[in-house]
Amino acid sequence: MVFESTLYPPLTRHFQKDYLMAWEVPLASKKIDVVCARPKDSYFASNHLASGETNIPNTFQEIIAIEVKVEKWKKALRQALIYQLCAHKVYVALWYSYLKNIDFDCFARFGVGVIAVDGNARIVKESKQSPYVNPEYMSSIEKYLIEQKVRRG
Amino acid sequence: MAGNIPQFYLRLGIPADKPFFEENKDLYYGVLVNARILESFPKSTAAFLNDLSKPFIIDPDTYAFKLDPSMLKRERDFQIKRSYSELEKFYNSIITQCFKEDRPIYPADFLGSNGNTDVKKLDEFSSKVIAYEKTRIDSLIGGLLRFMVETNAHPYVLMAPYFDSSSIVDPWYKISLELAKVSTKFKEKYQLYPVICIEKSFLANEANIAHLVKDYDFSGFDGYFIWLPDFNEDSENLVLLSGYAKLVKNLSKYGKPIIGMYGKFFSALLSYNGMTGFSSGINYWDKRSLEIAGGGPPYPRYYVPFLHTFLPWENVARLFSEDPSLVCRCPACKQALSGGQPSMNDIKTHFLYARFQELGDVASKKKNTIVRELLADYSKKKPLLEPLIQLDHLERWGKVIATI
Repeated sequence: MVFESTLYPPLTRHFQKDYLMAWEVPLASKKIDVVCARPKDSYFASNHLASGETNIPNTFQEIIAIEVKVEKWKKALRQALIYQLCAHKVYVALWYSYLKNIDFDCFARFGVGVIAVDGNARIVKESKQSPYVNPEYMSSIEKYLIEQKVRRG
Repeated sequence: MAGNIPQFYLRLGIPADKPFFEENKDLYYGVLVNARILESFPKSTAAFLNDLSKPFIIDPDTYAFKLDPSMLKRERDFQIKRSYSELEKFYNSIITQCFKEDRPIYPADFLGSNGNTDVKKLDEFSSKVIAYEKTRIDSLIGGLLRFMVETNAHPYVLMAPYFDSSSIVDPWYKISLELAKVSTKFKEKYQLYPVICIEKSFLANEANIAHLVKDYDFSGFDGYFIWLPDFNEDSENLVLLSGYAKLVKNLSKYGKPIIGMYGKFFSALLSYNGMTGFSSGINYWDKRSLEIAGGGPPYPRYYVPFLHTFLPWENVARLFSEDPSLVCRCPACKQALSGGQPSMNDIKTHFLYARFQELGDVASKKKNTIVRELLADYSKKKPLLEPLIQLDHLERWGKVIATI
């Protein structure tokens, strides 16, 4: 039996080199399983981290939101579609052996990508850029990421 | 057949909702208030009901005393909450005894030494509960006020004391029925409805429904309340939805009003089967479990008129960006949505407008028209919007209403 927690280490290994990562990131009434954010070059150079300043728009070049499920792809896609309000790209990560069940056309129609996870994570379908980014929701994610970084010090 | 507008009773859940009741008086029929809420804020609630001048009904909450006493206690000191200890003073010695022994009420509390229900005990309990409903608001308004101005101190309908039951062989089924029958002795000039509060799985069996309907054929009853704990109109399967429709239809043959204690649009559709009205809070309590919910305001959910159900706002924002034709144009949304996210106040007012609109639709349209519209919405939108939203309930409702 595969547990959802099994999928996290391979996903982390895949994204951590190029992205800052956060887990269980709040979005209104929901929590996004994984958020990967590629900071702009100025991010680490600026002093806002030290000052605790969090109201800095467009801090990140790219934000990716990932919904993690072992098997239930429809439920995962339903969740992932909401993340298009706050992320540039959105993926559903599934355990590799359940990929055969999914309707790839449905993912293509909504522009959501797919990640297969076994011992490793690999993108089997690229996400399109979300056309539905809402500045308020994206800003809330950016603020959260910056605050997390500050806390981690 | 098109008919009367289904009566929509708003449940008063949190004091903060009172302004919405006052400002939108034309958008609902009456008010339903739980006795435990009345006893939490007795004077202000009584004054509110009096000033509102709308029909009101008090839910005596008798079923709560069947719960484990820990559910009726405060967390901080593990004492019985004030609202229940106040009710205990009005209801009777059975509840007092239960509190003293720190136990729930048992069927045995209503039985005599021969194992049958004890009429004296039923009488005592019923008379106290009914007296409470008849006089509580009047006594709270009290004093000279009632002689100086016209008051609205008397309930529109009395709700018989009730307890939930799991089946028709559950001892609570018989006790509730007998309590309701006995209560008719004390109703005087008022109308009295029993509460049919039974586990939803009961609806899966037609023989059960027929049995219940026969049991509730009693001349002293002036109508019926129905509460199916945890019945979620959106997610129940065809069997249970059909069972509910059959229960309503069979009860309606007695020609008396039938009110759903908790419901949403499917309850409105049941008006084609004989349902007179139903109740819910503003954005909450459209379904209810037997458990007593803890505090905290409900999370803002937006009523999506096309789906006839609630979604969290972020889901709605995404839905509207996918299909802008679904954006609501009611007076509350017109302004709020142009500025982005609506406030909680906008969301509540929108719900009242949307509910009023859909009840008007049910009243003005023939059953076949409504069913056709539901099924057409389902077929047209499902391929475009799933899995972003779930809309299978529209098809299930349409099928049930079309066939029962």
